[in-house]
Amino acid sequence: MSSPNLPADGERASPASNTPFVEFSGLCVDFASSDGVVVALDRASLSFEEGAFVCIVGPSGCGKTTLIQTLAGFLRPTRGSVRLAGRAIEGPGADRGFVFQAPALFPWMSVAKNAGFGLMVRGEPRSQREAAVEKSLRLVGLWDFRNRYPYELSGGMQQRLAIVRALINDPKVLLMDEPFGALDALTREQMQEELHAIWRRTKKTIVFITHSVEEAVYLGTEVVVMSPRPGRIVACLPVPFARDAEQRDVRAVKSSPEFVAIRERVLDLIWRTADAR
Amino acid sequence: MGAGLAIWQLLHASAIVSPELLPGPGDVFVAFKEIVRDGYRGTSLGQNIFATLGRCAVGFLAACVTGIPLGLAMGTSRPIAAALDYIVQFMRPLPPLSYLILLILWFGTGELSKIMLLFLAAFPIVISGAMAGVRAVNAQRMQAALTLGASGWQAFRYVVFPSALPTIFIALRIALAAAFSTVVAAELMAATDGLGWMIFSASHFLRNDIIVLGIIILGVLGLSLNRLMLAADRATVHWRGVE
Repeated sequence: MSSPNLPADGERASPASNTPFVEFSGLCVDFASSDGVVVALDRASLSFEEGAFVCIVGPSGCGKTTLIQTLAGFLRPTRGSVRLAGRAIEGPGADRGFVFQAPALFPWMSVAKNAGFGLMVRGEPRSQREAAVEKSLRLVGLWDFRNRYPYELSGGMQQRLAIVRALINDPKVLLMDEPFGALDALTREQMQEELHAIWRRTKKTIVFITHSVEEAVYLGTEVVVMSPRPGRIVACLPVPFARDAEQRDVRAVKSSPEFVAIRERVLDLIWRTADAR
Repeated sequence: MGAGLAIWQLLHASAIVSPELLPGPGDVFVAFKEIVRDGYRGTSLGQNIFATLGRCAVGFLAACVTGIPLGLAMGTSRPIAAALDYIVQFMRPLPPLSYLILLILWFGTGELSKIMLLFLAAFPIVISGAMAGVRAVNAQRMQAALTLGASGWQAFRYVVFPSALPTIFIALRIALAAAFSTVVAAELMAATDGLGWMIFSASHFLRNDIIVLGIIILGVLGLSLNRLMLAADRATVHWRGVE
């Protein structure tokens, strides 16, 4: 489709297949702190294709959150660039949904209003909005709670609502910063299953930060390992399990020798970054 | 309440303070019936209550209408805050009575000087509350709104303003109490009606029963206003403490 003779146009993305969907290149982020400049990210380069489920792991202070926040547009790079579908990130926008560890829902709005917030601020007609909200809430089992307030929901339900709220805009990429970090172990595994199902159904590109290597290896199509002080990308490993069968047995997958081998390899990488300091 | 009445009656009966200076509950009840029936010096009790509450309400509402938007603007914009914050923080600890005489010189002895006084008593509290409320907004909620496509104005309307409401409501309750405690002082200085005037006038005639009655009515009104504000708070900020 694309012609190589198109004039260079910084604003328009060319759909050329050699343009990565998401591309961090030579990304540096410095923060001023009380004892001088802290390098949160040092020359981080990473790219991946549309539909990838990218899990980022690494010890505290490795710059995972900084990395995802530059893609969200909350932070500006000191040097280097972040591109989504060929376009440089200018600031936060509806093409990138964000899910925080604390769900950051709006407690003054009902569950339904929270879910439909993105469509509301973007001026979607009421009837379409309501239909989309009903469909999404039914999908995650929150329809019966539509008139409740977020603080009346359990932690897992709140996080499901946050995911629905981010997805209702049909963003190009879903950014998740330790979304299941505050949940109990059982709820966490249930949420992993639900997110996996959502990813398979919507084919969304997801960037997912987690402290749990097991979670990363189970959910990701690639696992990115980062090291701290300064934050650097150490490795980006392809992982097969996310693309496996739709219905999968969590326990069987997580205890299989293949899974354990990759999990141990990632853990080994993280340990080595810690030793190197 | 029963205990309060008992202590009062005991104090009265023990005559530690001369019974003429400290009327007992019975005397005050007699005075109450008299005032309800005949009014006080040509002014009915309802009229006095209405005058006091009316002044209070007008001064307080004026402080809300101006103080909330201004405080929100100060919380949102650093230059506006830098320009106005010192003035507000200077005004806040000033006892309103210290400038009452100036207000009377400027605005006369009519309603305007009293309403201005109540307005000035409530205004710095309202403005500080609105400003603090804006600054208490959760950064992630703001970021969430922006990634959902909200414009700056939409983020303000749907996130910043509701986030500020819990603090604003606390400030409004304190501001109303401040206006209410100032209204009596204003009526002591120059007024021809109101509960403050009734108390002050009664002191000239050694009608201590009416003074005590006035104090009780003021106390009951103050309590009711506080209850009313709490109810409005609970009805609006239903997420207080549970988010």
